[in-house]
This record gives sequence, structure tokens and C-alpha cells, in this order.
Amino acid sequence: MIKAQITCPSPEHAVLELDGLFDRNSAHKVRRDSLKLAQKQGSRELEIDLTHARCIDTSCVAVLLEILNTVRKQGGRLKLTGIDENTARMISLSQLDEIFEDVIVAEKK
Amino acid sequence: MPPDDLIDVRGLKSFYRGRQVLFDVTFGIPRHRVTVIMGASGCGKTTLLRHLIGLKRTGPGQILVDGEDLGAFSEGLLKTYRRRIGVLFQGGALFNSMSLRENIAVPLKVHTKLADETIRIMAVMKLNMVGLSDFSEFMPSQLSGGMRKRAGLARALAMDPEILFVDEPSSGLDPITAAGLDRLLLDLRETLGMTVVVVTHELESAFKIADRIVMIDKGKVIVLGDPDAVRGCTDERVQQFLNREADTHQINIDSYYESLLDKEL
Ligand SMILES: Nc1ncnc2c1ncn2[C@@H]1O[C@H](COP(=O)(O)OP(=O)(O)OP(=O)(O)O)[C@@H](O)[C@H]1O
Ligand SMILES: [Mg+2]
Repeated sequence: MIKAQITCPSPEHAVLELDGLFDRNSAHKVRRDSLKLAQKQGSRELEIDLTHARCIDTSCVAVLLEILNTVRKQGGRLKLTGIDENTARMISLSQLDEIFEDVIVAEKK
Repeated sequence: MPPDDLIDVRGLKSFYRGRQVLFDVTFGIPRHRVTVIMGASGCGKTTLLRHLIGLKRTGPGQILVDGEDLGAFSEGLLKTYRRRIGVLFQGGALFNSMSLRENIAVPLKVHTKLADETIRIMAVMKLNMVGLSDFSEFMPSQLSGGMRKRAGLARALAMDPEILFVDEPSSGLDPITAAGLDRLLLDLRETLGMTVVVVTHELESAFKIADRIVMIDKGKVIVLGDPDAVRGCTDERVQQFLNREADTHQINIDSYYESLLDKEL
């Protein structure tokens, strides 16, 4: 299971913090919560913090891509923080490094 | 520490209508590693695979999955096990009435609650892994044999299986595409920690990808070990296979004549 918590450090910046297993059983929940938040953020910044999430299959890459598409369509900015090495490799395996290049922020602020 | 075995095959015997084709087959399949099953045509590789995926029930002998006897699995447990595995059959096997993308989406639609768009993306990602993302809307009949084979692999990967079984993945592929598949199998092991079981005739590929090799001859395991151990094995049959020597084909002259004469009756 996965928990998703929303915080807004500033009016321009919303953070969705994920905690738990991000896999094909929980991906639909992450998708629903994050797309809803992305809609609300519009052209502002959305950060997804994966520090406490563990991505174990390719459904998480697919959902992250959907979020990215939604955010970009609205002229907003997506930031992924706390991505572990394994998730990064999964993105690589899916040949999506370039698409996520500017989105992945190595360190959590 | 040696890797622990996810699957343990112990003294497996296999029969088709009383004719024995596997004899006391014993070996382990290490977790998060690539195991290659090799051997001449007809030696029993596909049969062994059918046992490993629970399609053919074990007679004498056992297959232990995480220490549990696969032969004693209830329907429910077998279903759970099948959800952990991905299989590419020797023949490929796709639904002819669906596009490649739809073929790959089937298991995801049946077994998960993922949104259609997520499933669409995952299907295209899997097709991309096997070099077919430009063909996602094609029907199987519009593809070459090698492409269908790769599409079958993409479907086996749809659910990110914990254990992947592939029967002759590179038969019918050109050397470059085949090398790409080898790379993919290694990437899957690295990235997703997949346990991979490959049946192949291709020596070069086998030695490139295998952590463990099981060589079978006429239904018996003749060598088991890492690639170096297999290369160093002095068994005549192993060396014959490795050196691609033609079989001196010992025929049973009586039964040969008998089968020739039978035709007249
Ligand atoms: N459905 C079946 N019914 C009866 N006998 C079978 C059946 N399938 C396989 N066999 C027999 O079992 C033996 C092993 O066959 P199997 O298909 O396992 O070989 P293989 O090693 O996969 O060969 P190949 O490399 O040609 O695919 C063969 O002697 C074959 O005749
Ligand atoms: Mg076979």
C-alpha cells in the first residue's frame, strides 16, 4: 500500500509525498491523487517526493510519464525528488531518460 | 555466498503416454539470475519448461518453488504462481484479432486496476524494449516471424514478472536483433531483479548471458554449473555439443528396419 500526503510550502509550489510501495497495485491511486493535484496546480510547480516510495515495476514509470504529460500540457513544471537508483534505472530501461532529464532533481530540498 | 535457489527441481521424471522423456532431472534455478537450459533438439527442454510453469503436472520427482511443492499446489496457488511468471512459448502465441499493443495490454487489463492510459503506456514501453514500438498498432499477421517472437516476449513482460521463462527467444532472429535480446534479458535481471530461465541452442548467447547452465542430453542433465564449469567439463557429450560436432547418431537398426517395413502393411 502507499500513502500520499500533500503539502504546500508556498502558493506556487505543491508537494505530493509518497510513502510505501509504488507498484501495479497502488499505481492507480498515485495516478488519481497526482493528476488531481496537477489539475489544481495548473501552471504552478508540482513536486513529487519519492524519498519514501519504492518503485518496483514499470507501472510507476508509466504513471510518472502521465503526470509529466498532464503538467506540461498545462504549462506547469514537474519536479521528481528522492528518486532511488533503481527507479532511475527503470526509466533508463524504458529509454525515457531524456524526457525525465530536467524533471529529476537529485537531492530533496 | 551462493545465490539461493528460487526453484528447485528434484529427481523430475516426465512421461508422454508412458514414454519417458526426462530422467531424474535435478537442478536449481537461482533467484535474480539467468539460467540457461541447453541441449539438442528433442532432448526435453520444452517439456521441462512446461513442468516449471505448472502446465504439465509432475509425476515422480518434485519442483519446489520457494520451498513449496508445485505439484501439490491447489488451483488457487497455481493461479498466484502464474501471476508471478511470464512465459514466451516456442511458437510465440499472440491473439491474431488484436493489435500488438492490445495483445500486451490483455494481462494488465485482466489482473490490475491500472487506468487504460497507464496500460497503453506500459504496453508501448514493453514493445519498445523489444524494438517494436513503431509497430504497436500492427496486427500479428502483418509481422515477420522474428517480430512476432519479439512481440511474444513483450507480452511475457507485460506484468513485470518476477520469473521469466523464454523458449528459444532468438530463433529466427538476425544476429544483431538476437544480441539485442540478450542485452535486454541482462537488463531485466539488473533493473527489475528478474529471475530468467532461457531455453536456447545458441552457444554464444548462452555463454554471454548465463549465470548457470543446465545441459540436457536425451532427458538427462549432463552438466550443471556456471559457464566456466561447463566449458571445462570433460564429458564427451558436453564437448560434442560445445564443439558443434555432428551426432554420430547411433541408430537402432532393428527398429529402423521395422519402421520402414511397417509402411507396407
Ligand atoms: N505433446 C507431446 N506428446 C508426446 N510426446 C511429446 C510431446 N511433446 C514432446 N514430446 C516428446 O518429448 C521429447 C522432448 O520434446 P521437447 O519438446 O521437450 O524437446 P526440446 O528439447 O524442446 O526440442 P526442440 O529443441 O526441438 O524444441 C521428444 O521426444 C518429443 O517427441
Ligand atoms: Mg523445444
